[in-house]
This record gives sequence, structure tokens and C-alpha cells, in this order.
Amino acid sequence: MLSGPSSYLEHDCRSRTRGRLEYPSQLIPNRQSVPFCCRTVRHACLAMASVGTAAVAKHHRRRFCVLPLGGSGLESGVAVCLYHISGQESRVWLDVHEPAKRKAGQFGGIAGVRMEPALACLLHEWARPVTRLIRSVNSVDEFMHELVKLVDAAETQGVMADAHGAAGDQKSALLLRPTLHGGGREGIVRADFYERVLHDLHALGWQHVKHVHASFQSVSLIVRESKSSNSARSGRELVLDIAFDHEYPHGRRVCTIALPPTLLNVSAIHSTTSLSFKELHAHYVQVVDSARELLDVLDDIDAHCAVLEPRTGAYDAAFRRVALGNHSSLMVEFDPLNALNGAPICRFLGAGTFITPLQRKWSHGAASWCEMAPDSELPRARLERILGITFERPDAFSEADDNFSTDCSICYAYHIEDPGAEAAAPDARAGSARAQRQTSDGRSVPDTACEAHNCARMYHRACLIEWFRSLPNTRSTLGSLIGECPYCTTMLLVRMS
Amino acid sequence: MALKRITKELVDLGKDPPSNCSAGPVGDDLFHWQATIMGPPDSPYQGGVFFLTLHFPTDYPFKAPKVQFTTRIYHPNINSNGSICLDILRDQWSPALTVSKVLLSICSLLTDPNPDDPLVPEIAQMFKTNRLRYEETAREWTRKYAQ
Repeated sequence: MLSGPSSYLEHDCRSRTRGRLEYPSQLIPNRQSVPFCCRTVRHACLAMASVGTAAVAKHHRRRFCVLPLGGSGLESGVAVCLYHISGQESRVWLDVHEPAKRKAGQFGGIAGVRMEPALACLLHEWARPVTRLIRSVNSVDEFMHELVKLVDAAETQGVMADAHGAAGDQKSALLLRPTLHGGGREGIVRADFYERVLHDLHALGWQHVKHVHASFQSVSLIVRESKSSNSARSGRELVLDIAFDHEYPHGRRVCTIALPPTLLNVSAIHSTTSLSFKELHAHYVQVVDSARELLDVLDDIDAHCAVLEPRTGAYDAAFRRVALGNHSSLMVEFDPLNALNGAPICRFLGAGTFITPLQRKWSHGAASWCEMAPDSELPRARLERILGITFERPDAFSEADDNFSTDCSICYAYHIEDPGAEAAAPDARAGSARAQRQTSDGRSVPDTACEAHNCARMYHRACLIEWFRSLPNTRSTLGSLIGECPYCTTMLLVRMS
Repeated sequence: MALKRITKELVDLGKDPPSNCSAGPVGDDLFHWQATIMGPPDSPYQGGVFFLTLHFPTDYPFKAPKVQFTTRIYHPNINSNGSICLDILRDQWSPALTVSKVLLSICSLLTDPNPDDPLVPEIAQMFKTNRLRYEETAREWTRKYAQ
């Protein structure tokens, strides 16, 4: 039935080039919660096919324009943009019955109609004719033609009522017009844009499509790792988000995939070259395959260690922070390009009594990272061997278990966004001290530990300083504050600079 | 910072609620909580349900939360406004303390009043000199106001 892309997409013939597309997001139900299925877009297209090409030719002065509707959670449906006499635009959403199987591609009847509030208000007294229309029509096209007639009648009646009600009040009617015609040129879209997007998605194959945003300006594709015999796990699926503008396949394009930036090889898909979805998808399949080593390593850690951050299964960060118990943790960062054999960067966080022995073992063992390891050994197992420990299993970790927490024991957070803002710091010295403790992304992490063996709690330096300042018995010596650990009253020394 | 910690405490209270106590925000404002304490079984307050309000200062946990009884109670360390004389709510506050620990401390204050640091000297005097009458009055107030 689909005779070609142009049959299910058309533009407003009043201006031949005009067709504004923008859905008020609150009117589209549950866009996020309903998983997109290929069927949804296909049915929307089939429904649009019933509008037919002939209609485009016949009605040069069309008053409505059919918009593609994808991933909105409707089983099948069409959004129609309707123009009033006054030039105002209103949107109408039609739920279309799925056609019976043997009549695939034909019009199945209208299941429901939703209108923008302004239009619904206008047609308030015309509910009965509209209902009759829904039952009787044989195509979306026919329905819209009849609806336009009703809208015109309602508007004319409304204008006459206004004229009677407020005689001579023409000023307001005149004032109204310019705003109704408003609408920036940025919203104007070439009609073949939609054809091209749908055509390219079809060429890519719907099995790779996860979601099409109703604005038709972003799609989510599924990038599957190709099969490999020597990988521990293959067939991982990553989501590639592509945002594009109305110049597709040229123009601005933003691709997002949850992988470390160094792996992405962005130069190959530089945004000045025009690439179709299929070409982009192929590029990212290569990228995902090249990340296989890293993903194997990270998956292994996620499966065997109590990971504190980032979330399990996050591939965009090439590091993992794993719990070691006693409030201490190990931050291990891999080289995305050589995750399997390159020595990772290890940082130990926690009380000295627990981490100093581990640091010593690591500085001895790190040099021989490559030499002594059998090829098949994953970095996690190597680390365990070098450090002489077994990492805590993922199930050993629970948030309620205080012993694993490496959050600050004062503010109960791990990162603090802007430590200077809330910590009352009248003098600039303390402020600069905080600035130094910030991580590269401008956030502080707990970096001061209680050295008592049975306590070992971690604190943000800023939190301890603020607490010590509020105590009368805190001593200040050589740019340091000396006070008691809030939990075990062991003396702690915090440098302020 | 305070909000994050209060939220965490709320979650922890839900996971591991202290015995005989409960607490939670009154409305949308997480800085304003209501708490209930059941009168401890081995005290004259047994059988009573006592309501308290908790106000967290914006610089919580560096400052103690403000805790007050809204239910009247006959106790040497709690006055008619509901103010509580408890060291950990004043100078002995520490960020290591939590709502849960504060409520448990108040529970133990109900069981073991501290007449040597009284807020209502008359009740403290009564507690010291005529223990039986103190207990009788406390039981009567509990019946009257907390049941």
C-alpha cells in the first residue's frame, strides 16, 4: 500500500514549504514510559498513507497538514495541524484503529480524537456533529475536511456572537490577528525532511531503532556488539542517541553514546560531512567493537566487586571505585585504549592504617603488571593477586551497612558540589584550601580519615573544618585545626591550607 | 548539604526504625518533622503516646535539631512549653548523632530523669523527696494528656 515515502508525508500546500512541527510535550502521553516499537511508526505511516497522494494534488488550499507521529505511546495515530480562518493553528490528535489483517494498509476507523484546549473550547457546542463524523468517515482526510467545515462554522458563529455582544469592540479583534500569525521562521521545515528521515530509518532497519522522538529531531538507535569467540561476553547493547536538525543528513548533528570520549574516533564522523543513520550506526558498531576490551574489564569488576561509583554498567567512565571495607575504597582507572594489559591508575582512599599496606604492595607490584600476568587474567584478578586481598563481593555491599560507606560521616554525601558555598568560611585561606581539594570536575570527595583503627570514618575536609570551628575546645596550630573525631573522639588534625 | 543528610536519615529511619519511636516530615518541608514516642514500659509514662516536633536548622548537622514535646508531660527535665533539657540537644551535640539517636536518648530520659539538672525545679524536688507521688502524678498526666 505504501507507494513511496511521499505518499504518507505531505506538507501544507498553502505555502508549499510551510509545515511547522512542534508538539506540546505535555499533550503526548507517557512518551518516556512506553517503549518504542517499530509497529508504532509503521502504523502511523500506514494511517498517513490513507490520506493519499491524490488529496495533496486536489486541494491546493488545504487547511490542514498531517504530521508524523512516532514513539508517542499511541498504538497508532496521526497528529493533524489545523488552520483556522484567522490563521491560528490548532493541533488534533487522532487515534486510528489498527486495520484488520487482510486489509493491511487500509483505514481502520478513528478510535478517538484529542484536541488542543482552544479548539476543544471552540467546538464545545458542536460535540454531537463531531461524534457523528468520527463514526461515519472513511479516511483521515475526509474527517479533517469535515472538521474544518465545523470549525469554520463555529468560528463564524462565535464572531457574530461577539459582534452582537460587544458592539463596536473591533479593536480587540484587530489586535488579536498579528499574534495569531506569529511564528518564527526557525520552525519552518522542508517537507522532504520527514521523507528522508523515515527512509533512512527504514534503510537502517527498524530492529536497530529504539525510539524516535516525536519532534523528529532525535532518534535512539541500538548498537549491538558483534559476536566474538574470545570475549567473555558479547552481544552487549548500547544506546546511540542522535540529535539532528532539519537539514538532515547535512547540518548539525550530535551523537551521544555512553563510552569514554577517547574511543569515539569523532574525527571520522566530523559533522561537516553528511552521513545517513546507516553510516553513523556502522561507525558506532566499530567503536563499540573497539571498546570490547574495556567493557570486558569493567563488566568483570562490576560482577565481582562492590562498586561504589559510577553506577554498575556505566561504560562512559573508564574507572571504578570499589569498596574495601572499613570505610576505605580503591579508585582504579583504566586506559580505555589498553584496558586489558595497561597498568591502571590506582588511588587508595581511607584511613592510613588500612590503606598504607595496600599502597606499599601496589607500588611494588605495579611495575610487574604486564610481565607476570598470564594473558587470560583480567585486571581485577591481577589486582587481587598483587594486593593479596579479595575484593568485597557485590552482594556484600548494602547501603545500610555502615562499614562499607565511604561517604562523609558528617554530611552523608560523597561529592559535595560547591564546598565553599555552604561552609561558613569568612577568611580566604580556608576557601583556597577547599579549592585545592576539589576533583577535576569541581567537586570535593571525602579525603580526611579518622586514624583510629576501630573508627576509620571518612570526612570532607570542609565539613570537619566547619565542625571544628563551631567547637569551643578546638585548637589551631600552624595552619591546622585539631579537634575530636565526632564519632570516636580520637584527636584529628586538619590542615587548612 | 543539610537536605541531603536529612533525606538520608529519613531513608535510614524507614529501613531500621528505633523501638518505640517514629519520625517523619510533616509536609513537603523536610526541615520540619513530627515524631512520636511511646511511653517506655518501665516508666510512669507507660501507655502514653507523646508527640514531638523537630526543626532542623539550615546548618544541620553542625547544629542540633530543635526538639520539643507538643504533648504535655510531667517530667523534671521537660517544661510546660515542651522544651527538653538534654545535653546532646545543646552543648554536647555532635554530627555523629542522628534523629534516631536523639529520640532514643529522649526515651531513656523518660525512664531515667535527671533531677540534678532540672528544667522544672518543683518536679525535680518532688522526684527526689516523694518518688511515689511523682510517679502517680506522671501517670495521671499521661492518662490525661497522652492517651
